[in-house]
Amino acid sequence: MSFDWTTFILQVINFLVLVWLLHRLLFRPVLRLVAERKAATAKAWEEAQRVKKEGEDLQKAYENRMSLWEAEKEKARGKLLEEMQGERRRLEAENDRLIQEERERARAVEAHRLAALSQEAETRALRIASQFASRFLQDLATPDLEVKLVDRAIEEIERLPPEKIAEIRDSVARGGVRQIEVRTAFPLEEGRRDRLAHALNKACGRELPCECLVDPSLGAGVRAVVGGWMARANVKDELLFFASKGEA
Amino acid sequence: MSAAEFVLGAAGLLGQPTLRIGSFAVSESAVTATALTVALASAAAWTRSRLRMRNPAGWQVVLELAVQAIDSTVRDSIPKAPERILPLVGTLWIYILLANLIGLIPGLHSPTGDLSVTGALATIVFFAVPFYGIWAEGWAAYVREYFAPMFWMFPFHVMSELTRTLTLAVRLFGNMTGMEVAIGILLLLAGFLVPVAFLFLHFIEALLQAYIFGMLALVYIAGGMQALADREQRKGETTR
Repeated sequence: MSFDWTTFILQVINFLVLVWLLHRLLFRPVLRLVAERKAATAKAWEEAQRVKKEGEDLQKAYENRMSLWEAEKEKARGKLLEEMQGERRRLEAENDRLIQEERERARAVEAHRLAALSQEAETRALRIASQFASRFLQDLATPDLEVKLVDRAIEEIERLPPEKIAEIRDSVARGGVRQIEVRTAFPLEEGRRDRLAHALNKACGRELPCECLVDPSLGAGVRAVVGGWMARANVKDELLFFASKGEA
Repeated sequence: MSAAEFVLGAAGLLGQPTLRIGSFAVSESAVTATALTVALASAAAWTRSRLRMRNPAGWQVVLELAVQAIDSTVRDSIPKAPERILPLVGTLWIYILLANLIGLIPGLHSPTGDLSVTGALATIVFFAVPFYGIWAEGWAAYVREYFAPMFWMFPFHVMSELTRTLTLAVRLFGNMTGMEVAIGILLLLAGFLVPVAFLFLHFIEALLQAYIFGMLALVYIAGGMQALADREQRKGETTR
């Protein structure tokens, strides 16, 4: 064990130089590097936090937008549903109306058809009845029937109301009627012919010559024509009238 | 050569071999310490040129962890500007550790086995204490500490400073020398490969002594800033 001052001094110098060198070459660069890395890490961490926050904000905004969109979707769906129900009600009402109209139309058509059928049946019945009556009356059309019919015609003419008589007279005056045409199915007795002429002249309000004709097509009875007025009391005209009622 | 001479020679206790360059003679430990200084400075220069911010190599990670551990220890102890204390304490740890471990290389002696070297290191610490203390607290506050709690405590404080410097130097020298003597005796008595286990013990001892020396230096320097630390503490209590 010895103490050497040269070694001591060299060691002091060596160590102080080494302290200076290590400070410059090791401690300061390493600590600066570590500090820079920490700063970079902190910066990256802050950036990551910022990005994370941005992400969270975006997620929140997206969720808000989604919820708004959902609400709007629900609202639109409700509105659409309401519109669809309205449209359905409208279509149902329209359909009901069309069905009702169709039903009314069908009912009217059916009524018309039934009326036509009824009319046709009635006409046919009348025609049949007319044919039957004409065939039946042809057997009954005798001079006796004619007498009854002429008497009946005379009574009817004599019982005409004053308005009708005024109308006949006016017609005779305006028409310039010169004679009365009387047709019968059988030749009339003179007395009955006079009575008829008298009743007609009385209705006309003047004395007109009476031309008597025999027309067997009348079946039985009389037809008297005074200008535009006609007195009918014969089988043919009655049957025609009967038949015409059926046609109408 | 007797066995005792062999053991003491191996421990360097018979006097350090010297190199002579003309009339200038230097001891082997001075040469080894200088070579270690050059090697460390070169390694530091090489390291600095290869430091990378991104994707650091494995050795860089280890180095950064070691420097951060040193920095953290210094920051925990020093109340003011610990970055100015870091180079001295950090260099003490690294230098003493490597100087201790050099003794594991056959044919070389640990420079810390030379009292001149450990004395130099302790002397640096001795002067560093008032240097940093005065820088941190100012002349008056630092000197006042030597007269506290009573003025007549001054010689005891001075004696304390001197003895702790002496113990600092002798502790490191004694431990490293003792280890080398023990290994030399074992080598002599038990044979060539038996001291291998003791070499591992030497490794532990090297680590421990480096840590103790650096830690004590740190504590002494921090003690030199005691007045400042007390002020900081009082300020903290007032603030609370």
